[in-house]
Amino acid sequence: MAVEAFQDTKRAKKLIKDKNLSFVFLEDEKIGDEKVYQKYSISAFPTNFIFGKDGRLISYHLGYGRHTKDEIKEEILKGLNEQK
Amino acid sequence: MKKYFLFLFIFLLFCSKHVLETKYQMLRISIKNSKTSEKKAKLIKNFLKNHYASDYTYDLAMELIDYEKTKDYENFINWLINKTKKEETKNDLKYCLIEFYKRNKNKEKILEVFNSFSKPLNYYNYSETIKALIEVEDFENTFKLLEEVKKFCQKDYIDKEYEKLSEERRNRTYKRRNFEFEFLKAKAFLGLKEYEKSLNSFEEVKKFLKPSFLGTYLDDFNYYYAMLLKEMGKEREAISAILPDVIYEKNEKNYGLFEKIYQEIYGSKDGIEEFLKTKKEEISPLKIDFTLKDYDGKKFNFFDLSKNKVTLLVFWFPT
Repeated sequence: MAVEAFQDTKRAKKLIKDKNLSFVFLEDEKIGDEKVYQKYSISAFPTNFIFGKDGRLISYHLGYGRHTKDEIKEEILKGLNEQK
Repeated sequence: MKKYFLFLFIFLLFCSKHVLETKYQMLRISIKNSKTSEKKAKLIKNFLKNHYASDYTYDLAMELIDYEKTKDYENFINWLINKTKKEETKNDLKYCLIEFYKRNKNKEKILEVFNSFSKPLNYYNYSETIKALIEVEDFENTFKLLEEVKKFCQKDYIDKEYEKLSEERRNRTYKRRNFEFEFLKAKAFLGLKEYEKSLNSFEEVKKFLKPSFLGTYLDDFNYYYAMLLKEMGKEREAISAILPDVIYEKNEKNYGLFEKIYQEIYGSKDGIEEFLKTKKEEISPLKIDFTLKDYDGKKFNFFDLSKNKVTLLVFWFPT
């Protein structure tokens, strides 16, 4: 699930189409006095959160480095195995 | 004809920026490949000599402190300051000097740099100096400057200074500055071992900014707060204060303090990793619900969608 923070609709749409991405893509907007990314105190993009089945944070990644992809994969698998 | 020259000029400007970026990338590789500090220092100095006022000046001058620990650093930066005409770059370089003197515990020199800032002084001239003065334990001057910097934190002052910015951004500046102001006070009182006063200031700090989703505050708030609680004999509270930073911002400074407090409570380091693991499960934040639309206008609720599932939530924007 991906929340796009700055409502750059045109470019976001193109990217999703070009790369054939199958996430649920949502556009951020103000709920009350804050956008969703502000509620999650995001300070850098992209930020990835991985939540377990119980809704608790397993880990998070600020930015995107060389190992981020593998780490995320590993953590998701761990989350799936741990909480059956 | 004039038009063409203008285009050419803009084109050349564009190229020169591009070239500089490439040069910088090459510098980064060279630094990585050099083994000694001397070689690294030499590379950085050569770059700065050729481009003394670029976007990279501040970062490189700061980095140079790690490699050049002698008086040469001082001389070199002062040479750069004289060379550049940009007031902004001069200021940036002076912050580097302050950092250098801070590490060398040279109180007098810090004040000397402070007095050399062009007048009228701005908020950052003060805040950067005060941070350094606290580190070198010159509390007398710390409190003197804190008294002077107060006016920069007032709402009407900020409204005037940032007239052109939106209300929202002015508000953020207001909160950020007051957070920092009280935090500096708290740290100074902690240094003076006036623990009750320090605690009061820490309480004030919390009024200006909420902790992040992860339970961490700006800067190293949790670190110093935990340090105060430890000094006051409240080890258990201290350990809770530092935990989010130890778990989510794994650095040596946070972990070092955590280890110390843990040893004070439990007598040794035994079981420390197990303790962290259990605590992580206890304090890890719960997801926050929201409903947003996708690009076709269809609504999605986060909780409904992710119920009993391992979920990857990404915040992004197209670049």
